[in-house]
Amino acid sequence: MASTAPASTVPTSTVPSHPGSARANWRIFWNGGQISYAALFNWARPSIYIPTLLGAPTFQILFFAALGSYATGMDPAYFAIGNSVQVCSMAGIYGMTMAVANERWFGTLPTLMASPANRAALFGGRFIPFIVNGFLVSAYGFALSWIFLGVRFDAATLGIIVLAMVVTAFSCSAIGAVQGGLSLRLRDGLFGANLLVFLFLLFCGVNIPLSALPDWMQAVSQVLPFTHGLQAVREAIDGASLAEVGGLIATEALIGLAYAVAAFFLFRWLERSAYRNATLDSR
Amino acid sequence: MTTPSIPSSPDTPAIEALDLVRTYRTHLGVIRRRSIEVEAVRGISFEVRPGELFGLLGPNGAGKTTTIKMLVTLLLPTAGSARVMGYDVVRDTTEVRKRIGYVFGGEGGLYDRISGLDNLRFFAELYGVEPAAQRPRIDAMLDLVGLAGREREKVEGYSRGMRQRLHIARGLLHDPPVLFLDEPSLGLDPVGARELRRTIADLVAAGKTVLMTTHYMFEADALCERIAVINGGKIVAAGTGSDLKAVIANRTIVEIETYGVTAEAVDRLRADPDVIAVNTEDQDQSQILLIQSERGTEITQRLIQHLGDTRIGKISAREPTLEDAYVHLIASTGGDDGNGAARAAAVA
Amino acid sequence: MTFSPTFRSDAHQVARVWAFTMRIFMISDFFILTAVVQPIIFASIAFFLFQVGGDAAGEQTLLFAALGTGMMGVWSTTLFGGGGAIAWQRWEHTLELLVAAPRRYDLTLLGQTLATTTFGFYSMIATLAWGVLLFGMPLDANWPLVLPLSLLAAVIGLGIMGMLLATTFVLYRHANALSNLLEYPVWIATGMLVPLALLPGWLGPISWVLLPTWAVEAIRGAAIGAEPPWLAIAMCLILAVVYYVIARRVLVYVIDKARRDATLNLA
Repeated sequence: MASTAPASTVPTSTVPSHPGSARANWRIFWNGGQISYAALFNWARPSIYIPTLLGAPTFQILFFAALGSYATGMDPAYFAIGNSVQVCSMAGIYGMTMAVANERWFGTLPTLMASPANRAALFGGRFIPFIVNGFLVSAYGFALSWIFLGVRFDAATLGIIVLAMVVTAFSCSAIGAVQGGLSLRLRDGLFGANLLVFLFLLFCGVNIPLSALPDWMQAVSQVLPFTHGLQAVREAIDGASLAEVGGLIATEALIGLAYAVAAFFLFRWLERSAYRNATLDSR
Repeated sequence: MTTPSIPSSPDTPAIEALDLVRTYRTHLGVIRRRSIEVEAVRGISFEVRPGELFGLLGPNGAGKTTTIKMLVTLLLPTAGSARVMGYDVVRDTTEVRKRIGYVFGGEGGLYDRISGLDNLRFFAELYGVEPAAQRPRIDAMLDLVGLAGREREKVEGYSRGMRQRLHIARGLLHDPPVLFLDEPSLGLDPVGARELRRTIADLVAAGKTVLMTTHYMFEADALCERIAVINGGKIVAAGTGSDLKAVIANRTIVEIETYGVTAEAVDRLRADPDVIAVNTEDQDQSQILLIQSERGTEITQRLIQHLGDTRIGKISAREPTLEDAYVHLIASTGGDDGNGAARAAAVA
Repeated sequence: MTFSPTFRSDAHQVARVWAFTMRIFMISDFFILTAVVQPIIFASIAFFLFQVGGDAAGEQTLLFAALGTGMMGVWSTTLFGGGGAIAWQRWEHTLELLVAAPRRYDLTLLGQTLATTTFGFYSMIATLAWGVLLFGMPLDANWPLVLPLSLLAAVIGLGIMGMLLATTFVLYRHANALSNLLEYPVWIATGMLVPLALLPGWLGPISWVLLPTWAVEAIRGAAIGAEPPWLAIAMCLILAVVYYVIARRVLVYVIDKARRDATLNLA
């Protein structure tokens, strides 16, 4: 245990630790992020994962492909692509919200806050598993669309789609983090999460071409995730090159970054507010 | 861990609280909201020496948890200051967090869905424990708290006692010099609680400083070198167990078991000139009356007379315990309704 | 016709439970989301899509879309509120109390799922109001006298289906996951928004044994159909009886199993 201290120093720890070092921060981000994912994501078990993250998106894509083509006369592939991109919100939105809500449910916020862990590393580490997960769900959606709904693209386009999807999964997780933070203060996390997911179906050009939406809805779509990444995917499938869609992907990345930064400051503010006003513990 | 930049000597207290105050603003009502201020901690000062086991004793709602939260940097004091290992809890929060372990009883604080081992691995990262040192340290802590072999099970399957032990293992991962334990034996069965106390005693023997809150005073009496009694947000007494008992050391306690004692009978007891205090404790079928009087006065006969027709069971006279001192302190400082609620809370 | 005292007492129990559960739903965030917000958003999507398509049928199409998305909302509420009913009771530790009570549990459950479905019809009101307010949809029913019958048949039928969902879902460890899974498929397979005629032929027989297909037909037929939807109403009621019988049997099995496995009270 503690060593016998020389007269002029206080006892030091016998376990080597460097909280705040770059290495410690990286490990919180990378290792801690993975452990948090397993601990906080309600749907991580196959018995839930398969129906919820694979089953439901399957039927969502089919539903909108059928409805969209019936109502508009357009090619079902249009709706298949839009929804294949949108379904990464299953992980990004619900996952992030659950992560936050479960910290409160498990009562682990005090133990986290009383530790010397770097807050940015702690926050950032949550993202990677949900980005990966969201990407996988969308990839599954694209595979379905290829098999059943006539969506076609070549290898070069696939590369662009992958890039666009990773960026979109990030921006989706980022707005999910904002939602999660808000849900700490407002009552029901899942309400906001569900609302966001539905709104993405209405805005962003997922089902309804942007030009068919009223001006204000188009404007809102421009600052939401999905809009630019999806547009990049659509144009790439139509034959555009990386150079042509790179701007769209970059815009999507910037939007994601903006939401991520906003979320980080939101959580910082929530922590400080709890520190001042003791709002940390209510279940 | 680096040595602190603040020069300190063995005389520097490990924990120092100076006039800590914490008030909350809360709202009453939904339509017409009135905002009221609740004073949870109203000026608390104490010191804990390095290597000491210090107890903070008090009934529920006295301000123990609020005080600890200020010391572990989870709550900003409204006024006053505190230092842990020489670092100010408000200005040097990160330095304080590197040097403390925080353990609380009851529900929560661990991730149910993953294993005990994964919980410890996670917190080892948060505390910045060197990767090479993590596994040996985790194993050592599991051994210490007696969870070795169970660490791969999910925490949702752990018993209360196991969760508490995992909490302690977690709080010790980075070998902090100061440990804060908030009601650590809450909800534990007697055997589990006894093992916990043994672990705490061992930690202190090895040189750790421990500040513990509790409302079990036999626990405080058995473990703590010094105790501060908190009531209504203030410290009403502080010292060793003997010091506190000395408050009522020259008294005798007469315990009378009654069946269906009336309030008038109790009032008659209180009215007796030699009776210093009467506390009652409700049991299932009976009530226990605890009558304090000066040592040496023989009043048992008079007490029975006062009780009149009341049916009486056992009668005994004894020395005051720390529990009686505690009850007296709480009752005389306004935290009791006079019916032994303090004692009932104390023995809960 | 007078009803036997037992029947009156049973009906009374169902009615009391129904009223009690309705009050709880009124203040639940989740159900307000599912029954009102979600259908409105889907109705908007449908309205815009039909606009893009330059619909020829005009007002009829709007009403079609409003009714369809309204029914989608009814299904969502029935699915989550009904399907999750037993699982939810188990989680909040009221299942034990309800089963141990002297009144029949199946009637209590029925009262709850009927309330769920009734509440779900807020969706219909929401989407119709939305269409009228924001898209200028005229409200007109072709068979106004048949419409209440259609609604009644739909509520009863779907309420009983909720009970069937409740009893079967609880057999699966994660009832919630099933609720998540079955929202879209039923919307597709019952032709709520996309006419069944346009979907693959093999869906036909499946759709006929799904009560929501007939519920949608009954309501849609009364509103915009060429003829009164007597067949649909009849099928609702017939299927309701069939579902009820199945639900009762499964419920007995489930409760007995739970009592044997000591899982009436699961965290």
